[in-house]
Amino acid sequence: MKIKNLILKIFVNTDLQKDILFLKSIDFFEELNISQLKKLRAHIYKKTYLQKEVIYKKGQEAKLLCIVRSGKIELDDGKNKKIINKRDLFGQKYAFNDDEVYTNTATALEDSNLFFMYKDDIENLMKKDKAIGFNMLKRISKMLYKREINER
Amino acid sequence: MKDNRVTKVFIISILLLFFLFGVLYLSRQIIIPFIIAGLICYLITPIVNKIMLLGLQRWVAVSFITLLIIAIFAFIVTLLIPVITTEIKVFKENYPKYELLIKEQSTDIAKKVPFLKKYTDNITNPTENSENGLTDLIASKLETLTQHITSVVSVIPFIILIPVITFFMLLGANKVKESFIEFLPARYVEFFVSFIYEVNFVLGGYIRGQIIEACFIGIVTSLILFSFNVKYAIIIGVISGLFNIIPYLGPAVAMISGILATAIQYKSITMVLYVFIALEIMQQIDGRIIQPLIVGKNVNLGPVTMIFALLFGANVGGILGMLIAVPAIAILKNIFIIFTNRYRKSLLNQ
Repeated sequence: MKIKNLILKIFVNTDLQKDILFLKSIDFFEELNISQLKKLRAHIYKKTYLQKEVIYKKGQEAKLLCIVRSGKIELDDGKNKKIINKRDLFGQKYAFNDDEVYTNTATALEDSNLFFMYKDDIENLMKKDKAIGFNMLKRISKMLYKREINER
Repeated sequence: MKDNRVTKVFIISILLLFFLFGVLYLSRQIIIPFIIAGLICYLITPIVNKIMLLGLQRWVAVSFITLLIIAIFAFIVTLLIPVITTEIKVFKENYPKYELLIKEQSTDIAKKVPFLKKYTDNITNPTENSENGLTDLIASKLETLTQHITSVVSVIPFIILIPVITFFMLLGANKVKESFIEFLPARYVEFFVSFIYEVNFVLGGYIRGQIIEACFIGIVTSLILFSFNVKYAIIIGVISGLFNIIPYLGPAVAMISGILATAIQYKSITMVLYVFIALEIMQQIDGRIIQPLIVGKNVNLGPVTMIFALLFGANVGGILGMLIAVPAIAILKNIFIIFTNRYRKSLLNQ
């Protein structure tokens, strides 16, 4: 049993699979299938932020869409504060618009691990694989619909 | 305030540039294998990443790809080397004929245009002190060329070093990139990510385009010369393909060598004309269809920089150095421009 595990460990690496499963569990990417998630994974950068470390400041050039892998992030735009937990996204409104600057400051409330994607990478991905864009559109419209129902 | 920052960016960029060139210059003897390995690594990494998605460890994917590439490369070499050495042998055998031809032509010229006599005298009657003798020069170059190509000793360092360096580069490249991002302070993350993106965008297209174009030119030239039964078709094809990387000069070399080979073999203007037309059609297809479609953004250097790059490369690494220098310096120039722009943008936005 131990020998088999050892051999498996030498040849097999499941980190990528775990990442892809995590991506699948995110609200935003719910409609995407595995091969599309694999393409997404190719453009993902990872970074760990310590407590109180600032991820981006209000007014900085907005180019990143961030996913919280672990930990908590606080978004503060001077008036309101919002907390982002594991499996949530932030920065998505800049990815699909031409907004150039962040409208809030993101700080880590505790040691956090983030996945992020570059805005132009996302755009190219959607242009090349139109299904990804359409699936995300389906998801966004579902979320809008739910929000409308909640507000009534 | 912002003026100060822009000045700071400028000074830092210039210092970085000098540092980079300093490092390149100091390591000039050994750097060529690393450049080639870096190029191969850049092209192969996406494939390695795809294989890793199957769930394998990185070293498995890298080993598999490296072995595959070595196999393909060995296959091509064992196919080409015999043909090339045969062509060189044939050339050496025919060389006295060509020497005679050149001498005849120069005596002809000397008769018709007497004032050129002192130049042609060097060719027709090479003196004892024949450092200027054109034919002797050609003969000695030929010797060194054949020695180089057939000499196992001089090629071994390349053949062993490049795959080894590429292997370890492929193995570690991802880790380097990830560690660098972790290590970077948060406020530079966006700069770095956008920098990588733009470099990929501009240079990825350039590198892949050049390779496809070189293959196209090489194969088509060989086919053209082969169908006209011009000897040395493969050598000229290979040389044309390789030299195509150099703007303006490369295609000129291709045309001239093709035409020269036809002229020497057939001695008839009609054949030369046919070959010229065929080669010219190929160049037109390349220039109008292939280049805009595949190579993408124009990353060419100015003529002065190009000449400098050629001479520097020739000095450092002979013909191989000459070929590598032009794209290498074009790439460096573009990286530098992207870096400065991005740095300036990111500073001004804070």
